[in-house]
Amino acid sequence: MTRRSPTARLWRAIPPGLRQPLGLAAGLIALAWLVICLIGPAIAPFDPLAQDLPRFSPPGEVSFLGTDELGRDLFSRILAGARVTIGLALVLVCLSMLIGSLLGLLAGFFGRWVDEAIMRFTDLVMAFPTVILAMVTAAALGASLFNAVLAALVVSWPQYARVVRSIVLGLRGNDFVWSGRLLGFSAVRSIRVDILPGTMGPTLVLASLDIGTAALLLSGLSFLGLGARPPTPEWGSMVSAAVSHFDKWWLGVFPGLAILTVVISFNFIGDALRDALDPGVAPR
Amino acid sequence: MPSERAPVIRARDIEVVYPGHPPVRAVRGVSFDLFKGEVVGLVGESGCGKSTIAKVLTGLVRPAGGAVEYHGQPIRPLGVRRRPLFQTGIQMVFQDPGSSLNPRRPVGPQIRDGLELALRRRRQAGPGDPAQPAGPTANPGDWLERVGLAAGDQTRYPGSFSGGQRQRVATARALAAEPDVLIGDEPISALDASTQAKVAYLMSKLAVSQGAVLLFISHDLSVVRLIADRLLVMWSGRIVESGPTEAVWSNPGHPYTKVLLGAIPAPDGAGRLPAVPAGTAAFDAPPVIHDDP
Ligand SMILES: Nc1ncnc2c1ncn2[C@@H]1O[C@H](COP(=O)(O)OP(=O)(O)O)[C@@H](O)[C@H]1O
Ligand SMILES: [Mg+2]
Repeated sequence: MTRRSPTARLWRAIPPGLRQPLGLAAGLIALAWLVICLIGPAIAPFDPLAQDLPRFSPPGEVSFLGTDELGRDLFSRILAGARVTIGLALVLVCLSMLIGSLLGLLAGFFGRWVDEAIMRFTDLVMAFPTVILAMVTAAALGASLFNAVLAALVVSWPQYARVVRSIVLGLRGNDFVWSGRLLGFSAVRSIRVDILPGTMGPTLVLASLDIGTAALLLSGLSFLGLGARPPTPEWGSMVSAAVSHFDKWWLGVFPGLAILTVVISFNFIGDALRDALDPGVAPR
Repeated sequence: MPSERAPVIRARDIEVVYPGHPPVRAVRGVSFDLFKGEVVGLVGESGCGKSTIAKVLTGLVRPAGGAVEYHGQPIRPLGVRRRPLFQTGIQMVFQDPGSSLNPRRPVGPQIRDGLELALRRRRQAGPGDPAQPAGPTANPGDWLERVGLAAGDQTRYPGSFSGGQRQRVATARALAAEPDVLIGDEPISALDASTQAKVAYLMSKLAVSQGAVLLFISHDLSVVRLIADRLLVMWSGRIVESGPTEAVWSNPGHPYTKVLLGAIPAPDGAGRLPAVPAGTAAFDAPPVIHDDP
């Protein structure tokens, strides 16, 4: 083993998929967005809710990205909105992962009717087009951010259930799982000790791939008026409000770019993670 | 003499059928007894039903017919529920060193699982219980040393051990549970020739010193004959010959056993049993049973 400088070691810790200019850029953008989630409101130049600036001021005049139809600063609203859109996307992904993994574990481990019941239900949910099912659910629950997360949850857990189930099916037949059972492990202990740890890696990859999609789904619901209510600075609803002022291009373009960069950068990270953890899959 | 004592395992007319098209009759009426302290070799070519027998004894497969008793109690097939404590006196070392241990856990905690089971069995086994383990408590480090590894290896993961070392760890794990039946399902088949005999000797030495029965399964007679007191020769789901190792070795009675012995090269671990297609008429001779000495 040759000695490496600290920077070289840091470089090696980065998944290979991110060790190229485009990947590095994606990683940095995603990181920047996560930082903005934490400190966004604090670094915002204006109060994102205050309506005391000139209306429809184009970018660069009163403020960096201009102002909206109520005289609020767009840049500050985008910074504050990161917490709403990305934060809720993270919450959504965690919840889907939890629910989906639990159902997948049960289905895969117990098999038979448990598997039948859970997977039939999973297939049923997956049979609907994702966005439409989420829309219908959100509409039925009533427009609010909380309900939008619930509706998105309804459509996003099944993929975790499927992936986890198939991993569990693969792990379950391993001799060490049987050894554990022969040593008197209960089903719960067997799952916790011998099965669950093996599902973690792929599940986390799926989750990181899913963050961008989740952000897109949540802002999509808000765009349709099924999520965030005014004056919450949510990117999807900002784009939606911009639709009625089409000539004021900045109103829609900047929140749209925010959504776009989140989706693309998090997808990149998920891809890189997947390639790093599973070298068998050829990079796309 | 073994036959005067109660057997630890008593198997009568076991039948196992795997569902499928057509169903596979993997075991067709197998009977045998296993007695405390003996090493029994179960040999036969691949696919003759050896692993299936091991799985019946551990409850991993439910027989379609026949009866298997452990200290006089029927063996309950393993389902969703935890294995009955009493039956955890039957332990097994599996064939594939690549999957016999959990690759995501250090070996120390995995051996500790066996030790914890032994503790539970000691606490719960009633007085006079024939399966009650006896002997001093050990720790994972002791067990690693007993199987020829270092106590400090506890924190290492299975991936950092060789195949032979992993089978040693798996043996330690199974024996730490203080079973009185240890089944080795081809535990040495995946190892290289120089390691095979060492691991086989180790397993038999440790099992016998604990007073356990060792049922050692192999398709390779050359090593088994070095450690087994008794042999069960299987062919096509049946036991075709059984008896003390020396008697079977020097005076094989069944045509299949003769072919099998004829194919044994020097005991360097390279010996492989001949594959004989099921239904070969010459081998449908009645089983040969050598009397115990
Ligand atoms: N789960 C199973 N389903 C169907 N057939 C099986 C299964 N396991 C084993 N068999 C078949 O049963 C027969 C005996 O298998 P096995 O007991 O594993 O033999 P051995 O251990 O002696 O090689 C073989 O023909 C094998 O193909
Ligand atoms: Mg086998």
